[in-house]
Amino acid sequence: MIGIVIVSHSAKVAEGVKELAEQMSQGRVAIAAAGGVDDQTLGTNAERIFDALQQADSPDGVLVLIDLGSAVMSAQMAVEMLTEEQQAKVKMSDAPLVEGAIVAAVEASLGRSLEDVNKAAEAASTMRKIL
Amino acid sequence: MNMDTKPLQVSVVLKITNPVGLHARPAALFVQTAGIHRADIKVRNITRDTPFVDAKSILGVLGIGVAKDHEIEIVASGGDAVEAIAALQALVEDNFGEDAAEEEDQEDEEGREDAAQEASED
Repeated sequence: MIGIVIVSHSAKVAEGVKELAEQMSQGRVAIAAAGGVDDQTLGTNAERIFDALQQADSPDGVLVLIDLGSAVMSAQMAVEMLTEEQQAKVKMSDAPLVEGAIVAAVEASLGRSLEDVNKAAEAASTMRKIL
Repeated sequence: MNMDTKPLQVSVVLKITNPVGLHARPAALFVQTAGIHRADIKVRNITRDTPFVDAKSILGVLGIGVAKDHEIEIVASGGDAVEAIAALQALVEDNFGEDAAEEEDQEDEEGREDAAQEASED
């Protein structure tokens, strides 16, 4: 089962999205939050993301969800701090953070592959809410 | 007719009665229950007249917008279709394990008492 890392510029957003996603996956999926420069400061911190990548590490891979594009560089730095073996199993997702995390958590709980979970999460960007 | 032939396709129509409908946690439970079965399972929202979507896809299930009191049709084919339909039906009829019903009843009673007190105070 893959792991999921939630990267946000806000520690509260990252924690909140993690909480929501964990309820959807019934706690079956390892989900780690990496938000803020620290708990009080908005921004991203490669070391916090690195710690989250370690927490969510799985032989099946880790999907990284990001709130804004500017977090990508921090996430990439964090990925580069991993071993080459770990790096090969990390995928950065273009999915919307909240919707993508909900979809990814459920799809991951079904034991789907990293590729399949990412595809479903990215497709969440086209999900209609007002029907 | 050969009675040994296993049914290829099973379907059921169910009314959704839990408060939020097939959203968030109930939708996740629905997809997870469908996902552990081998059968091909599709679901559509009869009330909204949606097309069938894959019952094992959370995006599909969220996308058909099932609210309280909507009717859904679930069709399963192949493999363990009968068991899959039975499991999904049990989940829906059990209101997705929202045993909060009892607590809500208690709260409702308290609410009514509060309302009665307010009414008498007025």
